[in-house]
Amino acid sequence: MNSALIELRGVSKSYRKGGETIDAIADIDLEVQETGMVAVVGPSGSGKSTLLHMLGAMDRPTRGEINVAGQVVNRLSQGELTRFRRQTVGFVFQTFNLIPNLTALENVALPMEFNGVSKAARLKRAKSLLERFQLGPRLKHRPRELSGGEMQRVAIARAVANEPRLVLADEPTGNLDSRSGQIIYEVLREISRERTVIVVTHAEDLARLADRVIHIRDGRLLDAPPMPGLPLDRNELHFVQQRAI
Amino acid sequence: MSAMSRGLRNPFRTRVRTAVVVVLLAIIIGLFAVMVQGALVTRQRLESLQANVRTVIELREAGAFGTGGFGADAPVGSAEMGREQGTAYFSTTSLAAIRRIPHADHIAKIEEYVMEPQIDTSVPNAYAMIIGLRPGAPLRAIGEVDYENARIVAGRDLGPQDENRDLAVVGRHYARERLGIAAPDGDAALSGKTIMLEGRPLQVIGIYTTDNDFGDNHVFVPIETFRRLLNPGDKLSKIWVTADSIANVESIRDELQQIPGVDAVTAAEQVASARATLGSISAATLYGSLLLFALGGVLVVFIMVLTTRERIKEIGTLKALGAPNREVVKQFLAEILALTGLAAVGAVAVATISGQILQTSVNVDVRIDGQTFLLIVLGGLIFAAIGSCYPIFKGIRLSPIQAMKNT
Repeated sequence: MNSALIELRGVSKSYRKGGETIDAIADIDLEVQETGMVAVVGPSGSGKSTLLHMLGAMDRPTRGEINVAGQVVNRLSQGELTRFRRQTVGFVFQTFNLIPNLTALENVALPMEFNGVSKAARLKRAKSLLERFQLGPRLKHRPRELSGGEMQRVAIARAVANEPRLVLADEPTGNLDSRSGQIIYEVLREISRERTVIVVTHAEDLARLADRVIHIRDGRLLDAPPMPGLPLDRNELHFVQQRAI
Repeated sequence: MSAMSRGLRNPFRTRVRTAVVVVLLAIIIGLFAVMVQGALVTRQRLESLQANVRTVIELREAGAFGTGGFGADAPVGSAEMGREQGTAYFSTTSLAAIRRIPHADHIAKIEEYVMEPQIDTSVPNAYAMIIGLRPGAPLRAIGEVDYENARIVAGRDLGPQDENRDLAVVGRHYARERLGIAAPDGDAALSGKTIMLEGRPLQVIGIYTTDNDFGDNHVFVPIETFRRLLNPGDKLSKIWVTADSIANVESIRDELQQIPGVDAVTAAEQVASARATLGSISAATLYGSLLLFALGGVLVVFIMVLTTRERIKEIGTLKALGAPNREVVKQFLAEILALTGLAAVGAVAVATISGQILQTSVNVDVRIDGQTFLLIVLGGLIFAAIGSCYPIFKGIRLSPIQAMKNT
């Protein structure tokens, strides 16, 4: 039986803009189990990315408590947060965020360097990961020499390089064509067998692959039942599919 | 790849911009080093000039021009020379009086004698200046204004082997007017030529010129020959007095003026002029180096602000991947060190060239030595330190969430 990797209790995030207080996230309670893929869907500005940032220790909640892998993230010091990001989570960005002058191999090895892994060990693992994602012939290529789909696969390999228990992906197919997007879905699906993958997405196909879909609107989780058959819409939320895990 | 390696490689990501920045920084650092060196050199020269020249007081026989034996003083060996008449004259007696003056050090006696005889009694007013000097010493003729360097145009100069010999080197004007040598273009013209001094024939072995007739109307003879023939006794031609500090120059000069038969001359005006010139160069190089330093600082800061802003997303990504602040700092330090290191190499070339130009144009001897290299390295390090402030500040403060927002 899987245990909860993530627990959110009464989490809120508000900020001030032009003298007005805006609630990006409002009083969320959430549990996510170990392993599997979770899709977070919702319209633009609904708070999806804010939720993702707080889970990844890149932003702190205004209220409430975030517990990830047994660590109360909102109580960690700056140094502990850095270590948390290095060891517990891996990030996949919409625009890949690869370091332009490093090769695919060097990009994947980078987080392991921060984690104190020896050079030989990190290059061996980086090569193994890239080969696993069908990028064996692209080891020495720089990002500008790769296609969008290939860059995102390098980014995913980088995200799992330190074997984190949680991978956070923010619109990972947002900049890709449908064929490349499909490959990324499959890669994310594959890595979710070993760890928890939380994907913020507008892509209907990707959400359908998820083991669980979380709907968010105006900073709140929706309790609405699933409405199978309806497409995902950027401006209007619909519950598409939910699998119990 | 370590943070240092990434940083060292980063400047080559934008090669054209890096090349421009490196060239500009090389010029700035190179000129900065040369100007600082120039300022130091001129300051040293100024201090040396003030310490040495300004403390030196030249003593001449009262009324003499340039050297003893010319002017209102009596020629060496003449009846009016002083002692016979019981009046004071410029001699070792003056030297003894000087030695009693406090703070007047390093008294030097110049062993040079001058007399102004009527060379040829058959020709009215056929005067020439006879100068006794140590054989081998430079020929310094007394020209229209001051001493002038003489150069041999026929025969040879007096040498150490000529001590106490009855030889003479004459000026071109004297040779033409008294010896009938119109064009002294060879040793043959001197063959058998002699002059008479105190009844002794002196063989003429050379002709010199200073390019003016006044200076070319002298006869140089070996000092021992001069003494033997003219018997100058204890008469001196010139005395140099060095004050022990600039502060004492005025009082010493006043005391020297009290000695009978002595004129005390300081080089105050010449020193003031040289001081003004060197001071201007020193100030110009100092202000120039400060200006260059400011320009270099602004350039480095501008480039690093630009680079940092371009790399905000990258820094955020590194931090999102778990890079500690020290890794970000190390990377930027390595990058700015690579940039300024390349510039320092170019600065050596710039310093060498501009040092030559400075030496040629204003005669300031700027040597490209260890101190210049030190200045270049120091300049590079200072610029690196200035340039790394913003990226380090920004890198440490940057939240990884900003990288996400930039996506």
